[in-house]
Amino acid sequence: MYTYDLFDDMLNLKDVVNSFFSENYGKWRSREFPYLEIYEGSDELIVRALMAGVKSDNLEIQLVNDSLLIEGEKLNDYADNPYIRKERQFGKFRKSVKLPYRVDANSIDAELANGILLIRLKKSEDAKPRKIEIK
Amino acid sequence: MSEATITNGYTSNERVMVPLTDIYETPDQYSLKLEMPGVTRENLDIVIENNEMEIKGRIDEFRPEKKDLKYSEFTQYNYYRTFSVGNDIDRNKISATFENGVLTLVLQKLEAVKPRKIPVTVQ
Repeated sequence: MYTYDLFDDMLNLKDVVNSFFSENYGKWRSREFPYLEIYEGSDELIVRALMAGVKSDNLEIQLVNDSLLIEGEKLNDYADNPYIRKERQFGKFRKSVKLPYRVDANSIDAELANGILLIRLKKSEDAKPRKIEIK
Repeated sequence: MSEATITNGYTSNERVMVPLTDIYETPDQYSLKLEMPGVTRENLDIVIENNEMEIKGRIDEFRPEKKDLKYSEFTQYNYYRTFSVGNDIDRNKISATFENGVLTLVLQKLEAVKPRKIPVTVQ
């Protein structure tokens, strides 16, 4: 027979310390839905985000100063049936990411396919290096 | 999404992603919904053998030209997950659809195990 022991539930200090060092803490510390990645080229940026189950009607992308704001809602696709296993999450999300350089707001191209959002952003003209002539 | 390492035959270990899954049951079917963003229909492989259903999804590596990965919150590996399947499933009636990165599998229960209403007759 199992008897409840309060000390079983207490955190073992050694475990906390060990997990801090063994788990890659810094790497994915503040991940929020949707997970994303940024590729940087000399005059184009690509932002890619994983968002399975999000439809383009429920997704909005905005450029706010030099940040990209991704906002939307992942709707529950099976609300009224009893479930056996539930691992997926639904709901509203909002995530902003700072871009490495200023981009042209008029030439942003976004595409949502197979659960991946792909945004291409062109570098803004006034962010490009300019040679200054000396008189 | 979680990651795991599977042993691939005797040769190598492959790092995979385990797709997040919801399973629902109704009186005549089970439905599974698996999140597999980045997979295309052609790269999906679903095999049911003995009492195991194996789902594989291959990821085509994304590597844009002349661009460096500057920031990343995820790494993509191929997807892999297995489920044990009971004898109450009609194996000829499994349907699969893939939409917005979500794979939906519908497994019909066999007629014999479906709930049946028994009429009461009055004599």
